[in-house]
Amino acid sequence: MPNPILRVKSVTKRFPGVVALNNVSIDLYAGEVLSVIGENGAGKSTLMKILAGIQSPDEGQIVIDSEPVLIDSVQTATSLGIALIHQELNLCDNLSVAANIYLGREPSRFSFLKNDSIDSVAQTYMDQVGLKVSPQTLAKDLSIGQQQLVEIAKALSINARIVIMDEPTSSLTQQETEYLYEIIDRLRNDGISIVYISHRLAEVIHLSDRVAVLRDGQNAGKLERDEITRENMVSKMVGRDLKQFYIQRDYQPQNPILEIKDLVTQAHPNHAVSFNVRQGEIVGLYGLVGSGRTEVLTTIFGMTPPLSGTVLLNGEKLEMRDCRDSISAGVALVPEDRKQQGIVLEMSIRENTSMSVLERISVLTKFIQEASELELAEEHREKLKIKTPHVETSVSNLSGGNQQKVVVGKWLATEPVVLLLDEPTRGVDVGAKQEIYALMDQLAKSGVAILFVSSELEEVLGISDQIIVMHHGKISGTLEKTEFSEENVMRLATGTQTAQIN
Amino acid sequence: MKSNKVTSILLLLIFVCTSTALLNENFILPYNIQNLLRSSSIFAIIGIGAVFVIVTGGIDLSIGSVICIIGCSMAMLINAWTKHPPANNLQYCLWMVSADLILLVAFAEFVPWFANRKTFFTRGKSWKFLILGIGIVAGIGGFVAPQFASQAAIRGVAQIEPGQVLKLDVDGKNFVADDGKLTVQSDGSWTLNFQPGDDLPDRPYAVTASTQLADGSSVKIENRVTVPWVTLICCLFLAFLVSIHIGLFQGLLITKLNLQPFVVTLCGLLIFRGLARWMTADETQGLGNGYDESLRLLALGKPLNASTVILIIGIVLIAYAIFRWIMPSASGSSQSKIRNAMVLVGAIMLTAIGGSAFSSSGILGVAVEDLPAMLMRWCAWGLLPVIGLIAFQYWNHEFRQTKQISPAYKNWLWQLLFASSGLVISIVLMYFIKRWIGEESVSLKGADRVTILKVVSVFGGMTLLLFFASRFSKTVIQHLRDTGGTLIMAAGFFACLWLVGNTSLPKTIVQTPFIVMTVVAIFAAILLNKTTYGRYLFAIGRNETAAKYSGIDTDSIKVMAYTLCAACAGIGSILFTLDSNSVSPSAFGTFYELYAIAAAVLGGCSLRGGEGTIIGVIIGASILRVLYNAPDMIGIPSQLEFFMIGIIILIGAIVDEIVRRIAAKRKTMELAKTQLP
Repeated sequence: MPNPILRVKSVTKRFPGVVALNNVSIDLYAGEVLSVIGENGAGKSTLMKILAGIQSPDEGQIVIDSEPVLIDSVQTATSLGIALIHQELNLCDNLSVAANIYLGREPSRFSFLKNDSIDSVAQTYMDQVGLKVSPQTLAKDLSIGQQQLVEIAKALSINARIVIMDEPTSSLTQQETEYLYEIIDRLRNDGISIVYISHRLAEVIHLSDRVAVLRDGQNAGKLERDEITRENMVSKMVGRDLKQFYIQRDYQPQNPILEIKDLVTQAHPNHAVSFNVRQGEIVGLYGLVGSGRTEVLTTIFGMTPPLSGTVLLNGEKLEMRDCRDSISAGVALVPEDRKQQGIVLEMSIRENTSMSVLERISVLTKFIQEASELELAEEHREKLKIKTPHVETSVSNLSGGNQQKVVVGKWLATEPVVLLLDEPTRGVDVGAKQEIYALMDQLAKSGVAILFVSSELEEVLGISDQIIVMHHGKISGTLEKTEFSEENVMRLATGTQTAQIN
Repeated sequence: MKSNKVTSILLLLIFVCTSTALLNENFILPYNIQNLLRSSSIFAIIGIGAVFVIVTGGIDLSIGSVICIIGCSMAMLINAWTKHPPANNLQYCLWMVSADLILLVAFAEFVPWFANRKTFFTRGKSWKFLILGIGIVAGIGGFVAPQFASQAAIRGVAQIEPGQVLKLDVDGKNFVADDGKLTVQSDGSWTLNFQPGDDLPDRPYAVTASTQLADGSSVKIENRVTVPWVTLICCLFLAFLVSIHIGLFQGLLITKLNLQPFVVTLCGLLIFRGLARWMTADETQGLGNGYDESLRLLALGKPLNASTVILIIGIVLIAYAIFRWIMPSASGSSQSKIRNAMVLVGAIMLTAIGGSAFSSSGILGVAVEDLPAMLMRWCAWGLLPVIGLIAFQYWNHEFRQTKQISPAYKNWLWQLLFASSGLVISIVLMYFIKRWIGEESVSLKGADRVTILKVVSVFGGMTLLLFFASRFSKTVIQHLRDTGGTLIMAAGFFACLWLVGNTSLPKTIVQTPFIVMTVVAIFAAILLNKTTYGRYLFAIGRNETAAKYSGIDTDSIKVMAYTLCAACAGIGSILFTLDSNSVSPSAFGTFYELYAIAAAVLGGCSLRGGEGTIIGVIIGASILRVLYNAPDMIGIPSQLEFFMIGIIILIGAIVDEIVRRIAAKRKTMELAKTQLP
């Protein structure tokens, strides 16, 4: 075997209250795709930040081409040929594609920008990644997938030998994802090494030459090409065998609770949406990004008032002036963007849990009773198995999965009749994912109607009793359990067949 | 983190106060302290208002202009309404309130902007009916009020000897006693009734009184005009109402039209200032020099002296302690019981000290005035043997045997040790200083106030030094960090003793603004920390989207924040106006918004929102006022006032940030040590 181009030797990194990386070692060879997987909080992101020079390790060494190096800044990392593509893309919306590619090292003469040359050079990199827009297009006019390509072009423009991709597909559509695979293949053939971080095991299986698994900030094993299977990865990630990942549900149809009739959302004013969710049922709402799934949820929740149409809850018309109408009627939404919409990061678990029911548990709806608030938070902490010493912990100190549980707990506290979940498992580790599935199952059994949106097809297929597929703002089909298959769902989602299957 | 910030700013206050007091003893004269207390209180009130807005992540730049326009309108209103019958004042006032409330409900119900977007008023019908009900009652009250009519008149008191005839000159018009309009009582109080034809301008009257002597010449005599309390209250209330409306208006613009707070309030700053200048034709509005009785009382206060306040605080604390004893809190640990017992003991002491002012013999035969100095003497001498004993025990027993400090002992032993050794060191230092400058000897027994002052000052300074040293050093004086809190408390205790000792307990006036500030602060603190409103406010400041997704009515909470801010500015303005007795529309209140914001930020508010404490902003406002006062005291040219304020705040911010970084780094290291296998 040739010498690795990048060697991480026993790196340790500590943060207040947690050891993020403990003695982690990883090798990366030229022209390979190395997937780094692990539950949330396993230390993947920290490791990548250390490689990219955003953070520096407390102990340990990084060796590039057999030379120990000190990566103390992003500039150093760049000069060593390491490029990190963040999960949340870091493009400047108001600058052109070319300007974004050259951000921070603009070609200039006497500190005056040379805008004409920037465009032509950027064009060559854009061609390499197959980005077919003008270099002068503003970044905000690009789709998420295109923005991703700009990031890759940026990486190429610094002659990167090592490209780190942190969850690159988390907001891409299926086609965009497949195109990304192609690009990654092409880069690999050019001899560029890729460190690929993802929660989606299917992608990892598809792409990786090797897999490195992290668990609780430590090495948990390495898998070679022929060992890469779902079972191997999951057992190494969680440290135990997961016999049954998705819960087998046995659902008997009951009365509809949530009836949506000709609902027209603000995002898609030309299409009306109608469907029902029955008591105790888990309905998966699938569609590609931009198909209007999230908008349907936020409209039912009352965040964006509908243009027309009605929503019946238990046969009664739901006023949808704002979300307080929906909440008081018994609708709850676990929103898509956890950190922005779901929780207040700087507040404690107690304060977050009671957020939506605070007036209900306060004296005269105004004076907070800390005792009953504490009781409520403790109850939900135990129910949801939130891993924390006590409920006064700030939510910002929790891992993604536990944060998501706090959001769910906040809404369970309102004792909802209908629970809407938007990407409930995004950025959540495998263990917490399973706990969330179990919780959904348990809630459904207790009679709550659940409508959830997910971009992960296997998850939608795994836990739904019924799947509603959306395409360009309208419902392209409804699948009953017997008709579940990836092909059926994808056909409806991509609009190749819009006729009702059943 | 929160309490850390308050601690460091409290240190800054102690530092500034002690250093100023060291450089000029006049700083702690009762007169100066009273003035400081009064102005700090008013600035604290407007600062508290600013906290509400800053916590939401917004800003209010219009505070100064609001203060100006409220001050001007209040002055104009008092001048205009003094000549009307009080019943009519009440009638106008009630009608305005009635119209206002009814309009409010009508808006909420029928104007689409409110009614369809369904955020501000529409929820909770009961509130709407309540508001409407109050409006209607107020309207009816307006009709009833003139039933208690008195005639339009100005009233006053003149020092008139029996048998003399009073002559009044009101803006050039002459009135003689018993001419049908001017009636004089035997005690010198006079009433000048108006007929519809007697047009007097709506501004302060130049009222001069004189008596006619036998030879026909006149002699001027002392005279003052009194304002009926109904008129006064109506005027103050209306001025306050105006401020609430200004806040409501700005808040609605910011939330409903989604305009930026900076823009809206900047325009407010310009608009209200301009309006005030136009309204008054840029003339200084005075309350007149005669309005002593009712207005000056409100401005300065005579209702309570310091010992009464101490007595009241003591009684309240006793009640609280007993309440806690009967109903322990949910997490009733033994620690909280001890704390409770300490509160009770302290409260009884306070009650005794305060109450002793009312007994002629003082307490235990000690005159009230000597009490503080004596208490201090006891504390100082009483501590020494205790320290020795503790130190001996500590070194002998615990440490020698185990070579380890047992955690339970560690804290309070070290705290006591350092707190008291600081005191001993100060006393020794003082002794040598006095020797050095030629005084024969010094003993606390014969301590004059200057000595006490210096001891306390040195002690305070040392406290500060030790505290900061403990923050910077990792190993040498590690335990000092824990002792910081005790040191501050000890320093504060001694400083209070000395402050009180330097004044005369029974003669000290507690200012009305201070009482108003206390009430506002308690109200604000409860609102911010104990109610759903406060919780929502913090949630909005930290993450508005998440708050909205939680079903919180973010708009109305923000509107309320701006309204509260303007209301506090209104209260502040009324107090400022009464205090200064005249309002110059072009200068009154300039920069006050910056003082309010600076006080809030000094007190731990983050301009990004989501952080802030009431106690912090009060201390912040005090620091600003002391800094304003200090250069004058020390002898720095007054042109450097702003320079000084800026520099000291800047240094404070820099030190705070450095300390924070070092503390965070050290905490990381410690945690890492404990967690590594």
